[in-house]
Amino acid sequence: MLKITDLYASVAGNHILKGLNLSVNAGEVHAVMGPNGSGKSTFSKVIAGHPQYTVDNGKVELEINGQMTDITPMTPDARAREGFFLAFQYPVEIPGVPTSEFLRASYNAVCRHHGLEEMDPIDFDGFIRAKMKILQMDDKYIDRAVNVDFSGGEKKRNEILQMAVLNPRMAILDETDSGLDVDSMKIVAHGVNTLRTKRNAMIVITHYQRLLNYIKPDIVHILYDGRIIKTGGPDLALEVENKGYDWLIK
Amino acid sequence: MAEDDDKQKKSPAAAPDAYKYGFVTDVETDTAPKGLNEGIITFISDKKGEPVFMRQRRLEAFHHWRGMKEPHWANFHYDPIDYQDIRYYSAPRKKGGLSSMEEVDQEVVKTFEKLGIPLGEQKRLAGVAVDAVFDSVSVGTTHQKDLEKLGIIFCPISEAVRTHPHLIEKYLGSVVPYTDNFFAALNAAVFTDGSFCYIPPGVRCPMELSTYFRINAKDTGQFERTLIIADKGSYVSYLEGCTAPVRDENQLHAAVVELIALDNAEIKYSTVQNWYAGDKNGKGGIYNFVTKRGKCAGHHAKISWTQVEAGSAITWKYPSCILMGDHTVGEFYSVALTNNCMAADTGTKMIHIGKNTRSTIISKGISSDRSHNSYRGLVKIMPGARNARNFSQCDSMLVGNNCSANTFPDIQVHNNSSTVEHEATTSRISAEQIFYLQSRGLNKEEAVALVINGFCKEVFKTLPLEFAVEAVRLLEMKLENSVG
Amino acid sequence: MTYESADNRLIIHIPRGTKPTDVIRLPDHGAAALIHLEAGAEAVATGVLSNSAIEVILEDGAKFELLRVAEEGPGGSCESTLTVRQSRDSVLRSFYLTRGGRMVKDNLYVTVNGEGAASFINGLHVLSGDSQAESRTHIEHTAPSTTSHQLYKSIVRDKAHSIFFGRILVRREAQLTQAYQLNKNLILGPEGRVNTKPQLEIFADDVKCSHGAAIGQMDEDQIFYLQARGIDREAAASLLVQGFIQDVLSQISHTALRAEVGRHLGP
Repeated sequence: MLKITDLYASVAGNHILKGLNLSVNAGEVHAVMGPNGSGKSTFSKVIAGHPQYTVDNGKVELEINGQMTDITPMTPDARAREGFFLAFQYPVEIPGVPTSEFLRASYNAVCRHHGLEEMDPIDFDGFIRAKMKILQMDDKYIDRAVNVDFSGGEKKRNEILQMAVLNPRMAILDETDSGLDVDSMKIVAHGVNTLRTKRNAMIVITHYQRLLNYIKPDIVHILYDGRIIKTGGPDLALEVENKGYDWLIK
Repeated sequence: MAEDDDKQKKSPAAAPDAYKYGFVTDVETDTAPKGLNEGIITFISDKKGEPVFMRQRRLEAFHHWRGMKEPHWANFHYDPIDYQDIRYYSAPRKKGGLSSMEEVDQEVVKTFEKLGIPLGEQKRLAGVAVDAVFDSVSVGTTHQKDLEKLGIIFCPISEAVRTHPHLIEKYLGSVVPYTDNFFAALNAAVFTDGSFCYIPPGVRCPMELSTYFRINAKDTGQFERTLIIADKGSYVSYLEGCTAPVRDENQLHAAVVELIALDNAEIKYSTVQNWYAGDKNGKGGIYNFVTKRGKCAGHHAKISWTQVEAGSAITWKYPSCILMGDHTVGEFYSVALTNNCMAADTGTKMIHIGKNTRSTIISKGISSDRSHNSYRGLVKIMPGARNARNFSQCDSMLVGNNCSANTFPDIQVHNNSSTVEHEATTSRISAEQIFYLQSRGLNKEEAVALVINGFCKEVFKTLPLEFAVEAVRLLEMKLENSVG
Repeated sequence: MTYESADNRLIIHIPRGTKPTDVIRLPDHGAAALIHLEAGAEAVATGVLSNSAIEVILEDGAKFELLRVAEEGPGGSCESTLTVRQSRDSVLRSFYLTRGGRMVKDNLYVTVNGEGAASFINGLHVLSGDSQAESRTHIEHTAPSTTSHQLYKSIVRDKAHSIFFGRILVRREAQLTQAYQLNKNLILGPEGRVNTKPQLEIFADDVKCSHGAAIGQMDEDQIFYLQARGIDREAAASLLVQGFIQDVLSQISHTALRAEVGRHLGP
């Protein structure tokens, strides 16, 4: 589904990713863990195509129409329309733009690209409200401006709601657990789990093992200094929880 | 020319305000008669032994000034200044020849000691080179020899006019031409002393350079002129302090300060201004009309102004930055405190000309009693200043209900790649707040200091440490009787 | 409600406690009007105006909402003035909209003169070509516990020029006043220009006053966020402009007036 080969990337002249390799198949959930400053956020931004990050070397291939295709030259919106999704660590506030309008614009952009019929506001309203139930979200919230005056938990739920609406094949969840209390985390994790299928894949980026109790990964990677330094099963996350990162770095 | 023995002692009106720098030094002086004409200008130029070009410039400035009108757009009123009723030159008599510390009148040396600025070799402040200006002349500059070894020139400007005429001719008036404004023209005609600094390429000045201005003589105006040039890749931090005796008459101080930073150079200029502010009924005090401007002429240059304005009956002052070079940075950090009947109209101008230029403005105004405190600022982004950024924060604090706090920003953006943000708030320091803090065990002074410190924190942290401590003390002292 | 004309001036009088439900339509062009709401009266008015001078008196507890649209061709100039005097507990909502012209200028004077009175003053400039618009507001608080809230926005395309000059004056008597003013500008044209002068003059110490001004362009983080959801750059930009406008339109409380603004802005 996703294959990252020898990826080097920098931001404002600072080299952050230094030869990262990662391969994800359909149906799999991978966890990427690492201490602060290891390059976790850069990793997600680069895959999503943030313009401030430069890919200096390597490839990011996404399966598009059964073909592995290098997406690094593609704009962020083109990537999104091809089924890639990033749940942001810090979702941006967009004053004045109602959440419902934004979601419909986004959903229809993807539909248009795939030659599917666009949804009118009334149908979309029904569609979105059903999705919101899964995440136990208040109805009023779709009339509010995107992320404006949302609590930390609401912002994270909004990210997962968008994922539910767009139904991506490849999603990266960037520290979705940060700033969440246990109850909110359970709700978010439940939302994510209902979206798990044999046909899609996810990468969960996290600093702590906590979230992985609720979203069970198949494979765990440790990112350090811009590279994957260790890969293992779910046990690796528990080991990190108990022993910290130091033993891996030495 | 006339001699004037000034025997006036401390005015009784000063007592309740406790302006501790309000004493008068009894010293023999050389003074010019009152009035302003070509003869006086020639007299000043002769006294300073200036080259012909300097005298010509003074006369040109004087002729221009005669055609100008005093500006009255600022947010305060004052009785008309009679420019013919001012002495434009007053200097303590020298016992012998040219400047050597031993020859300076001991009364003057004692004055500076009393102000906390020892000038003698043994007692001089470590880490700070001081140029001490008494009325119209510099009476001594410390650490000059140490600085010379690094190629740094730090001397009275009147000396630089004689010893470094090429630098003076090239740079003096290049940032603030005499045509700039009424007071700048007046200063260009009659300036008497001030400091000159030149930092050669690549040199990081190892100590703070500072000038201490003292007005002593009666009926005298002080027209200081300072010029600082930081050559490519150099750095200098400069401090300025000012005090004056308590007198019932207003005295005029019209200074011009010019800074020039070439490629990659940085100048940090800090002021603690504590001129006599008049008594609590507004009698007396210094009229402080100052033009301060820096030019970031080269790329990646930086000029940073920090000011604590706590004195003067009237302050009219807008230390500004012309951000000419690409990637240049301008900063303005200001605390202006007014009490009794003082008026301050102060702020800055940030003129963005080069690409990727940045400026920051942090202004804190505190007004109490019957005073008026205004922030006035201009941020101008020229069409060619692509990707320019400015952030301004202008906060006011009112102490009591008879004062005013005003904010007059002017923002002009002429391209679509720049971002400017301006924020302003007002708040107050109330008797209840102070009571609350007192009930937690702080005494009143500590409580006031805590609130003021919190309010001004962002500015104080940009001051050199000793200055910051002094600035806090100064504000505490001024506000002691104002908080209900 | 009565209408009368005197000295070429329209006088609209809304008696004590009455609340006409229909939106009052002010006549076009060259209008001079006095609108007087007696105590407890409530009314909503709108007009497409060029040169105009409107005076409003709000007595105790009166509530008035006014939408003024200054419509000029690209070469036309006009100047309008709105003067409002507010008594105790009255509420004013004013919205000014213009797409500019050679020089389209508005002057707004509000005296918040009764305890508990509140003023909500908003405006929008949507400028393109080489059009110019200038809004001047002067809000004077002369009584205690009064409120004013101003939001002016401008969108500047091409070589257009938007000017905002806002003055808040809080008199010594006006303790416990809250005054807030924000001017936000989006410059989209490479030669677009914005001048803003938000001014505060405060003479009372126990008040909450703040103002802000921001001039900028599209926020690249917002664009990226929308792009990451499959929306292309152009659509994302247009969504953000809509959002920028929506924020100020939401200040209009009367739905018919809001719809009217939408009509004037066009598709």
